[in-house]
Amino acid sequence: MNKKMRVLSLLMVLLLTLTLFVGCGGSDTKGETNGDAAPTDNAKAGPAVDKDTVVICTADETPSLTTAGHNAVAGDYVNKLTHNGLFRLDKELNPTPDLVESYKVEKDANGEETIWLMTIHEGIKFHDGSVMNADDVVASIEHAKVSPDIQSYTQSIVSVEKVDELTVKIITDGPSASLLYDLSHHGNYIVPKAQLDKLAEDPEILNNEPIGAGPYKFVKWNRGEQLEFTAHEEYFNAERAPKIKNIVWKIIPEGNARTIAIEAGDVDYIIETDSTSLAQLDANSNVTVMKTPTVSHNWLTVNNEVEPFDNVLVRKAINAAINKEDVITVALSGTGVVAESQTPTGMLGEYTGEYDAYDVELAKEYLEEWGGDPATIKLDMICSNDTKRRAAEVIQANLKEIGIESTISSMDLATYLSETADGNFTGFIGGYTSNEMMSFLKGVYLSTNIGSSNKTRTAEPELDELIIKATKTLDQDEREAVLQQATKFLNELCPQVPLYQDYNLSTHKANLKNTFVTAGGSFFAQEWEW
Amino acid sequence: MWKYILKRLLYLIPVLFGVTLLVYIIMSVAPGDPAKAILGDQATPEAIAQLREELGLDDPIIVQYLRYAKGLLKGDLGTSYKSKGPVITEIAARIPTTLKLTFSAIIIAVIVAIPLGVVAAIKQNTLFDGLSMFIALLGISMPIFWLGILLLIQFAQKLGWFPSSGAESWKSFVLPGIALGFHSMASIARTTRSSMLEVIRQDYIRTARSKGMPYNQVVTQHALPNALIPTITVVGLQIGALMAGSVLTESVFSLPGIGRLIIFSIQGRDIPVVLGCILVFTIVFSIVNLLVDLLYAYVDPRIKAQYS
Repeated sequence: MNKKMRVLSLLMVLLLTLTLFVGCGGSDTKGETNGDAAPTDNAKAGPAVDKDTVVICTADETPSLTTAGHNAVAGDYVNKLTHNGLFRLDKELNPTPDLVESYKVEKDANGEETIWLMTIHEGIKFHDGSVMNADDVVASIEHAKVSPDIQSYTQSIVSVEKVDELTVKIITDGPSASLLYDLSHHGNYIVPKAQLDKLAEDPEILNNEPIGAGPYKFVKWNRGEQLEFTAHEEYFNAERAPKIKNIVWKIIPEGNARTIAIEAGDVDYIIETDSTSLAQLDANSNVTVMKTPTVSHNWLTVNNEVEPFDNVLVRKAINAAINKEDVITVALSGTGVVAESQTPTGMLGEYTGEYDAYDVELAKEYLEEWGGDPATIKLDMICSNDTKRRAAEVIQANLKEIGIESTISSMDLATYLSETADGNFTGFIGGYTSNEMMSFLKGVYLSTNIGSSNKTRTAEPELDELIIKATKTLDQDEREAVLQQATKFLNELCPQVPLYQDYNLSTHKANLKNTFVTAGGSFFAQEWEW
Repeated sequence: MWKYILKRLLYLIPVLFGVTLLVYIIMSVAPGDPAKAILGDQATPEAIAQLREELGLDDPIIVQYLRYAKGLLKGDLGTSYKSKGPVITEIAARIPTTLKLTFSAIIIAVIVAIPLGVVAAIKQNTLFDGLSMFIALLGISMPIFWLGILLLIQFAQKLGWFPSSGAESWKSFVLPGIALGFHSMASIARTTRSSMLEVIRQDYIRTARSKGMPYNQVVTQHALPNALIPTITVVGLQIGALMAGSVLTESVFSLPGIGRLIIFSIQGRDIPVVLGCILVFTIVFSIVNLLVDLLYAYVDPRIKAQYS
């Protein structure tokens, strides 16, 4: 090798080593500064530059600001800033009056409690200065009722009418235990009737000029980039009025980029922290990572209409054979808890009895009792993202131990949603998030939802009856008992293989106070302060 | 010349309808129901049916396309399935970012690549030649995504010279421009080098040298203009590639451009938005190709003679 070539080779090696150092160097997690250090070392993640503003970043952009025009989590976050419902979910996910000052339930001619009289606070001001009244409430709920995006949250409402300037009467299709939860959903948030009246001439008005009575007013939306909000000075509830004046809401789709943004000091709060950045962020004393167990229930679904998964023994064998701790370690970097039931824990009606924990020997016993050859079981697990794929890989290894060979397929989300809803699968990794047990059970197991959200295709009249009964039981204790009965039934039936309930991972600058995330993933930005 | 330009622009009309028809059919027959994608896991069967009807998805594909084409003739790009707003609004808000990104990338690429390719050619088989071709190889091989993250860590997180996200000022386009332009820079540099090597071996270059013309003058006045035609072709093609590459770059640097919009729209089966984005890409690509053809005429008088 001549001299020039040697020099060239040396330079190449140097260049490659340099890129490796940049890539693997990590960050200064101790936040040490040396006087005139670059303004972006991690000390920048400390004190807020502008105490009037908090910069929130999130992975997904809301499809719309119209409260009744979507059912996206990304949209729910921003709707909560600008609007209110008659009710809201508190930190324990219980419905509590928000715009409503008082309410009562009356019996109809059949003696059923179906008449809900609700009176809103007097003098609630919308962002445009107009005062909210019963007409606004009636128009908003009637508007929500015709939107397909949020149909599940308006189903129990038969009609709504004005009683007086501040009172409305809502009639439900029988006693409805889910009404107050439904009224807490963004789809039923209250918008000015004046805006709804203009919809025919300007269909985009609710999206372009969202006006609510929420703690923050909409200022600007640079599509794909960021939204801006400013405090609603005349917010009706002084105790819950915003403490930080402005919110900048940035859209940063890449997990790594979000981590870099908070470490560079460009953002103050990350709604969805990338789990692969956890160790790095945990070691950074200038930021706080909140790990909140959620009610999001994730599972391996098997098609209960397809042989041999129509046999409860096969389903129970698969359930007992999977080491869920390993699934959490591999798929979530440990950020989750093992699911212990066919329904989530952490909400009214939770029940963990009659449920098999991980036990390979028990799995083999179930298979023996079934009597078939495990090698004949063909399970293909459809996944729509990397987390699901990693979970499927652990499951694949576990099932091999009991003689079941499985395969893994990847699909984009739209195809995955269609194929799984239509029942074109033997198995898939999925999940469902709901803030309360009734809508969870209705969505996941009610037979009328086969073809959409009931993907196990469970059709059990006894279970349907229990679910409907729960939704019509207003007494909380009685309802809890019915819900537990339903879960007991499901744990015995084992329609699917629960895997985990994951953590919500939010990160914020250490000096941002009063942050709290509910098990449903919601947060209350108006309570934050520097 | 003007007649030629007009003819090329008129050709664009059937191209646009052909492209939209093709994409419409592909999107419609691809698995994945737009209504289910929009409503998500929690939708009821009634809601899915209602939304399908509202969006006209129960009609035959050809009826759906003709409805779309009729709107297109009136300049209406349709309504987004997901946001329920006009597609034109969604796209208009994002075009400037993608164009700024694409042109900052191509400017960075051209500024670096042409001198690199020229010097590598005139210093063939030297250390500089080897090094520049190694950089070109690195540029072609290195994934945009990875390079983008490295740049973010070094220049946004550690040094703080540039913002880590957004498109607020010219500074926001420097790192994405480098990440995106690095790949094109490699192709342009290699093409320039090859072309220059071919040209500097021509008789007229030898003649110019033997007349005593300074070497730098020979390179810049005689060799380079003649070597530029293949480079211009590559630059034109690279603009198309850069718009495609913008999909990844916009995601890494959180830029609100059409690249990200089209990806989210494909994932969500938002057919009108996908078609709108494809239309924009087609128009930009066609116009850039036309400009490249016109530039040939400027650089090479023989081609200009053909136009007239």
